[in-house]
Amino acid sequence: MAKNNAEIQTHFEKYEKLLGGEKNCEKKIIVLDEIKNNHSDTRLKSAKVEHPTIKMDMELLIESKVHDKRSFKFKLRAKDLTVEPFFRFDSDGVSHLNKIPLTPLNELKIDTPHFHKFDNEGRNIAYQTDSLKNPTTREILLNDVSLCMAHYCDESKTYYNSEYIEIKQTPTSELDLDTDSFNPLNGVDYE
Amino acid sequence: MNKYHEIYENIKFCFDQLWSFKYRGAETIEIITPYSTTSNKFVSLFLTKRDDKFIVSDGGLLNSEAYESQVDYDNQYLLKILYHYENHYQIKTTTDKKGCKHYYKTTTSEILVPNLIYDLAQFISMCVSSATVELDDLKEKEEKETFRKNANAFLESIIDKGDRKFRASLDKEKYRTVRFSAIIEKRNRLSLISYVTGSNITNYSNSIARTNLNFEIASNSKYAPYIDNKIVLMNDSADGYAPVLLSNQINILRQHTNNEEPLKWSEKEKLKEILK
Repeated sequence: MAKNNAEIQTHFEKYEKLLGGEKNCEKKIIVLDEIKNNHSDTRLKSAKVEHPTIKMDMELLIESKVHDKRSFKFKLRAKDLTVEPFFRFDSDGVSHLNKIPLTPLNELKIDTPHFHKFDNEGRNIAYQTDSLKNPTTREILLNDVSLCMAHYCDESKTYYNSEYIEIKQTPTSELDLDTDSFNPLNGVDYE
Repeated sequence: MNKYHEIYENIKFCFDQLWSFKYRGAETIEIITPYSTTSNKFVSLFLTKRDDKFIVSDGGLLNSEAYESQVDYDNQYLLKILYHYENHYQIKTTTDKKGCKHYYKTTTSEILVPNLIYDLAQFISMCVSSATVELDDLKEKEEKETFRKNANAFLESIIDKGDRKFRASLDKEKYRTVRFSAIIEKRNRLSLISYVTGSNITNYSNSIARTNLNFEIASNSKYAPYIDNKIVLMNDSADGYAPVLLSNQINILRQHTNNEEPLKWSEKEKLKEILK
């Protein structure tokens, strides 16, 4: 069962400050030249992030599927606050159910792409910005990981010396694969 | 029309709004269903047609843990539950090239596609939700065991065999339940060592609480005059180790350790000096 994040609930004021303050990332360009442990189909890279007043180890984690360039995740994590990433973006994947009381059922489902943050009860809340709700801008963002990153920079207030962070999905040592729209049934034999 | 009809219409409207879809290339559509899981995700299914057959598949999402629930295939209780659902909904399985299991159903009749969606969505929802039930806290067990073994091995390397006891109580009668991770006895002087670890912050905090309680009892026991050291060995590489959040709990430990910082696993070499 999905549990509320007790650490964020307890330290919610700190959480809001952490998210609301302009944070600085150590790198302007993040090259995804590592592979995630136990997930050989996913590239991964992390970079250190600093908050202007809250001194805490913090990192920005970028994940991207090797064969599906439109499938990536951005996460901010501060282990001293909570092990779970405290602000996340999912470009693809399953839809989220927001367990917000007193909200009509049809408003509780949030499709991807979406952001994730926490409310004062420690509930994991997914949401879409206007740019993600609009089919045209959504397509533009999903087709360019660095544009999407710029959107994440603004939503999470994380920059490199006040500039947008850029992502290189394919390291220079590897070929840039031209991938089709992701279809999980491709190449699978069904009886 | 009775007075509840409008509510009924709204129920239908809201449920209907929970359906959505994404195109996955020209040959497949992802159907995002209103069926959800206790991990707060909605079940996605993939529909395609090959020759004269309609295929509804979970796309490997259950097996790849996309629903944020890990199926523990070593857990016999969970497997029994999953097999029960698999039989009941007559689900087929296949494996893709990456070794990921896909759950699916097929039909040659287009009008029966909704039946497939209904069966498979129920199946995925129940499997994911069942897998999120904590039937056994294996992670915590593993965390404690690993740290205990590492710490014991270190103590074995610095303390003579005759001077050390692991998982030992102060005595086997009155203080049988007051057990320490290790007790070092040299020339009738005692050093009590308690390991503190946890796979998450709650378990870590509980581990500190147990240590406090045991040291408290030892301080008030008849053995108190013989105790030279009460040592806390904190696993600072554990997932549950969050010194900022646990600062209050850690501070309480100081009252048993002559107001010194509890010893961190990364500083274990200091034990050589303390236990000399």
